[in-house]
Amino acid sequence: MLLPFDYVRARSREEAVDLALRAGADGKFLAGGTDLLVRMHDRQLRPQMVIDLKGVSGLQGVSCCDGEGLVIGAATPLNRLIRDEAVRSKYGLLAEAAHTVGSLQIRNRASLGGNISNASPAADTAPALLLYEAEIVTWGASGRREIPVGEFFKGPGATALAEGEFVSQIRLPVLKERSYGVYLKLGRTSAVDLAIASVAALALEGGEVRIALGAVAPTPIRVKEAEAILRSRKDEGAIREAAAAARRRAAPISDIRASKEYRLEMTEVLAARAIEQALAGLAAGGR
Amino acid sequence: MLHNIRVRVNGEWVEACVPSHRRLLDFLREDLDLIGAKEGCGGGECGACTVLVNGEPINSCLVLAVEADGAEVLTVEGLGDAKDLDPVQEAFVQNSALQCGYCIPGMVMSAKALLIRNPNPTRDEVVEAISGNLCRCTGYARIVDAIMQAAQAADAAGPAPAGRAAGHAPAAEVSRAGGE
Amino acid sequence: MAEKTTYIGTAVVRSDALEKVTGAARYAGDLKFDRMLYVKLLRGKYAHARLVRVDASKARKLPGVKAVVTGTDFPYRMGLYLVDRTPYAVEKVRYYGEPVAGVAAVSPEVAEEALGLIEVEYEELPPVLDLLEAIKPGSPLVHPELHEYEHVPAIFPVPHTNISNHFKIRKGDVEKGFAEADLIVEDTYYVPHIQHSPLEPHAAVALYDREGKLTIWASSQSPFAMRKILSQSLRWPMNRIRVIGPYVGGGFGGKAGLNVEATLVPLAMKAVGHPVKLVCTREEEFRDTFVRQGMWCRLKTGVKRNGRITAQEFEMYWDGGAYTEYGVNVTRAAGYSSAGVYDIPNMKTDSYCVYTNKPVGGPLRGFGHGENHWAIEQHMDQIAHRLGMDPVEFRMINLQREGSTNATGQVLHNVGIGKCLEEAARLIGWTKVTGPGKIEPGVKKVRAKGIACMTKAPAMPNDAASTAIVKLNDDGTVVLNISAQELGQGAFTVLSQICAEELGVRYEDIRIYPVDTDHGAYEWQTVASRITYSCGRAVMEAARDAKRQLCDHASRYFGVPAGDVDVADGRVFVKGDPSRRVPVATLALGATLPDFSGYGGPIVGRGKFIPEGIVAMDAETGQSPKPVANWTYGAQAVEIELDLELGKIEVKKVAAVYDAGRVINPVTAAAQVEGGVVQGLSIGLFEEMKFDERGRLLNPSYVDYKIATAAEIPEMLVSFVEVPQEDGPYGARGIGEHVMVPTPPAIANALFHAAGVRVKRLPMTSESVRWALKQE
Ligand SMILES: Cc1cc2nc3c(=O)[nH]c(=O)nc-3n(C[C@H](O)[C@H](O)[C@H](O)COP(=O)(O)OP(=O)(O)OC[C@H]3O[C@@H](n4cnc5c(N)ncnc54)[C@H](O)[C@@H]3O)c2cc1C
Ligand code: FES
Ligand code: FES
Repeated sequence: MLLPFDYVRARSREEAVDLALRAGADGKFLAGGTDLLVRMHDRQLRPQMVIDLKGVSGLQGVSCCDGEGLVIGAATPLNRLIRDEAVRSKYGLLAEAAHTVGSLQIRNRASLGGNISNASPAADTAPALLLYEAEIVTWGASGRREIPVGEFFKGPGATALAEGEFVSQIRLPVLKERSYGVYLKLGRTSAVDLAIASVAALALEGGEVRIALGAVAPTPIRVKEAEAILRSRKDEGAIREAAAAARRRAAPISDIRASKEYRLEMTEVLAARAIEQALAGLAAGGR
Repeated sequence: MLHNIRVRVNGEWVEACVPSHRRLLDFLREDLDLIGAKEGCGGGECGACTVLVNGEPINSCLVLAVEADGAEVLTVEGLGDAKDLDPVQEAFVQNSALQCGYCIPGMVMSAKALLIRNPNPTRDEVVEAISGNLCRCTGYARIVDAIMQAAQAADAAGPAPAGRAAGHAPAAEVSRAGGE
Repeated sequence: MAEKTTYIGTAVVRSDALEKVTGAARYAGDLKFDRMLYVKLLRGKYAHARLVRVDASKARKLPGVKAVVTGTDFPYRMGLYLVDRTPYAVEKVRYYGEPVAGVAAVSPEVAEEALGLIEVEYEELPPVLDLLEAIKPGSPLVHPELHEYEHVPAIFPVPHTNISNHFKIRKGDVEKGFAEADLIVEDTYYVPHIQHSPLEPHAAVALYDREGKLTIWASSQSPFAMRKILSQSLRWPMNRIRVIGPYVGGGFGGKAGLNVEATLVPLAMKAVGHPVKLVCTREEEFRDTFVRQGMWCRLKTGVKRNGRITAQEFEMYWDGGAYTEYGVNVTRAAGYSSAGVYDIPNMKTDSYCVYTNKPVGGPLRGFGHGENHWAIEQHMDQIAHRLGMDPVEFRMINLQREGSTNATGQVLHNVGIGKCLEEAARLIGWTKVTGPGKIEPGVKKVRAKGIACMTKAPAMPNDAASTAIVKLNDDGTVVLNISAQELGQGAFTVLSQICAEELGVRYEDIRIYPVDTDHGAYEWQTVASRITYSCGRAVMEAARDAKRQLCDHASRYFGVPAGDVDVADGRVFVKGDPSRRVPVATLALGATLPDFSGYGGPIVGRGKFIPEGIVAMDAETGQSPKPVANWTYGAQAVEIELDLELGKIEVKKVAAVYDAGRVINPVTAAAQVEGGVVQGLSIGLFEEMKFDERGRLLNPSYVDYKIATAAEIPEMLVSFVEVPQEDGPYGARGIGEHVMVPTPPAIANALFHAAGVRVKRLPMTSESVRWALKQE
């Protein structure tokens, strides 16, 4: 059972912003509801107004503009993303990461925009977005903004969004080179679990290897120090050094899922594995 | 706040006036008396409330009734009854893929959705399709068997089944013996 | 060998299958009545606090609120074995989440709003959270009034302490036994609190009508026990209390006895004529219904070089929680089975149930045996390793066998464990192992096998009885009136099979209806793996009684001696003359004789069963020639894959072999084993209730209390041994609980073989295994 509130389905970006500004702290945007409604059910949140974004134009679906990369509507359910041919072929890492979110039922509702707006350190799509250097397109009182994903996350539950502002699209810049990405997520059970630690690695044909971490810092983070090590060398020793660098960057907490120490160790283990697999995948043809 | 909604539930259009906070699960169970979908957690974790919305399985505890306005909803009640079971239900019966039964309507709907989308799933795909449906009783093996069998039954023309992969003994071996 | 049977040993389709796959099956939470009210409970915010003031006056004034109660409105103590628990906290709250007040209102929304209007003032008391601190002299007491509480004679509370039961075994001479030993191995083990987590949370509806009669519809394993507890506590005659039990969406012990239903009684009495309904949230289910007690233990065993065990000393401390009305008996059961499956000549066991300010400990599938076997079965492997022996070989030397005695001194007969162990080892492909395998450098994953045994007896009072009534309808179909509960274990199916077998009717023609204490045949409780055994015997007798009546009718009808007629496949016939037969329907209400006169009358068969010859255990020594009804044995072997870097264990394969005495339905029996194995796996790898330093449960949801998903299932090889149980139906005995007991220690033993490490504290999470590996 949920406690009473008012539900409004916004029909335009302007209306959404307007409603949100008027509701202030009592208002909440709704996309898939897989996070918001859970918090409301658990009585952690009790908004007076819930503003549904799913009907706002531009927030649904994946569009591909030639040479421009990919534009994903913020309210697009993850399953649509995962099944989208353009995403799978060119941004496989994002599809793979999205695939690890919750269950099939959850992914039929959970949106990409909701996943990042939540700003959970463990948000599974975030490391992939960091590696694809996504731009977060937002709408707010002062109109449209584009925020590099690296500047979007501000802390657990905190984002760069201003009051009344919402994410309308996620833009993935074009990737000219062939690449191969791997997302490794360690949970407690093998399915439907939040990450204890996660690592994304993206190997690019040009020799670059990008690395990002989830659940081991206040926000998902990209580890340029580790990437630098792999720029010139990709041997076992370099992989080990890069993994150690990833561990050094991690700043996890102890919580009910795992201790800080375990998270640190797992960051290193997963990083080494992810890098190795990404390089192997690229060598085998990539995407 | 109240909303007038029109939802097609199990093939029939239903018009209703619901408050904003009514969940689809409560709408089905309390307003329409369709008690097949169960509440096991209310938080998207157990899958007991799984129904199909526009052909896709969702947790009806995490969808507002007003969000289902205009949608097509399928619950276990719309699948088949004792006289005319859906092949998925039939396979659950034949495989004894149920115990207390509380998770079963949700399981059956997840299985149904999988077979609509993918009539020839692998065992791994079946496992994935139901891993959002918790079951505390069965140990899942027979449920996976049942779904594999339902797929084969629906696809009788297809290739012969590849036998039981990692699963379990269908019925147990029994050795009779005197005591020591 | 058993005679030829039609239904016994046959995989008939479950009788509840159609109802359940179509969504037609109704559970307590699905019930709806006119004038129904919705109940919400206000729960305490401290683990231990005095209630200074509870003021519900504002809540009572809220429109839509029909009844509000607090502890002082209904200060009755209740309990199955120890009467220590009130439905609502009176004067004190003793665990975080204990009900302080209840509201019944026209909608759940109003009820919840009303909770917010109830003012409670607490005075915090020092919480008793550490089990081992709680037993020290001077510890704050959770129940200073313990010495005043009523209890059954088999329970031994220690007044003015936190110990609500101290169970003892004194067998032989342990000092002498240890003196004879060549090697003494001692270790400690721990199991945390866990929760049953049935998919259906507790739900109940209560109605107090104008006549003063109370009716409760509940998701319950124990309608009759519930009635008894209420009647004793309220001093009401039983005919003023009626309990109806629809299908139960999983119990595992958590729905035994009296639970949240008690909170509805005073609300129903205030809202006369309104059914009041409570459905627990998942959070309440985790924290505020029964949980499995945590347990810390020390186990010390002496052994000869030739592998023979000479003595064992076992101390168990149970984290019983705030009320131990049911938990005291878990302590007792784990005490009298403390030899496990082994023949140990000298034993000293002390099993203590300890009050703490934690959730209420109660029965959970296995009833103390998942806990004590976690210790015993790892310990046996540790000893075997120290002796340089193979764990199977070491066990074989010490197994109970014909003429052995167990912890209680009972002399054992028809013991099937040897066969179970042999078969489990064979199925998993066991090869001799005397220690951990060598791990080559660079290897990231290793595979290994482990094995564990178990035994358990039903833990129940000696008057735990069953009855059955078999009624024939006009058309020859049958109403089997029993009050066992269908929890998913397949009780209705198996009992129908027994009825069909004995009566000679078709299985499909038998119907069992939901339990109703006003109309149903008596049943103690659906617990202790006792239904097939006990209720099965009652059904057998009732069906035979009905058949005797049918044959009597037939003998007059056909004009032949009663011995010359028989019933099969729904027909009554003269033996050896196939032309002379009639459908059961013809004779169900009596026989119409050739002169058109009637004979006999409608057929009602009755049967009853009580396990006979059970002798109470001696209070000081725990010794008894027959302390329990029967013992079921089993063994499980597992194969795991260990990821050495992550510490993650994947269970690849499980072989499970149980001595069921006689398998009535091979499919439901195997299904029961599979479900138990996966629950055992889940407990072994994932499950733990975690508390903060103030006694608050940190993980009351599936988000952070993980149970096994479909992605965790191993390959399962299930097999049965059949050493008949003398007084069981067709030789059958129960297996329902047993099937999850050995899984965790078998995994732990495999872990040792994989990497030479032991995790002696459940669960074996990736993190705990990883730390164990690092210490190595
Ligand atoms: C059972 C279960 C399992 C889960 N498992 C995972 C997992 O494995 N990994 C994981 O990362 N997450 C997991 N989640 C969390 C959640 O499903 C995801 O974060 C999901 O992507 C959220 O998307 P949504 O559309 O449902 O968000 P909503 O619930 O609709 O919204 C989430 C939050 O973001 C805000 N919001 C939504 N859309 C926008 C927008 N466009 N602009 C601004 N604000 C917005 C909302 O106001 C709300 O505060 C799980 C949840 C459940 C219930
Ligand atoms: S009730 Fe919806 S997922 Fe559990
Ligand atoms: S059959 Fe009981 S939860 Fe699945």
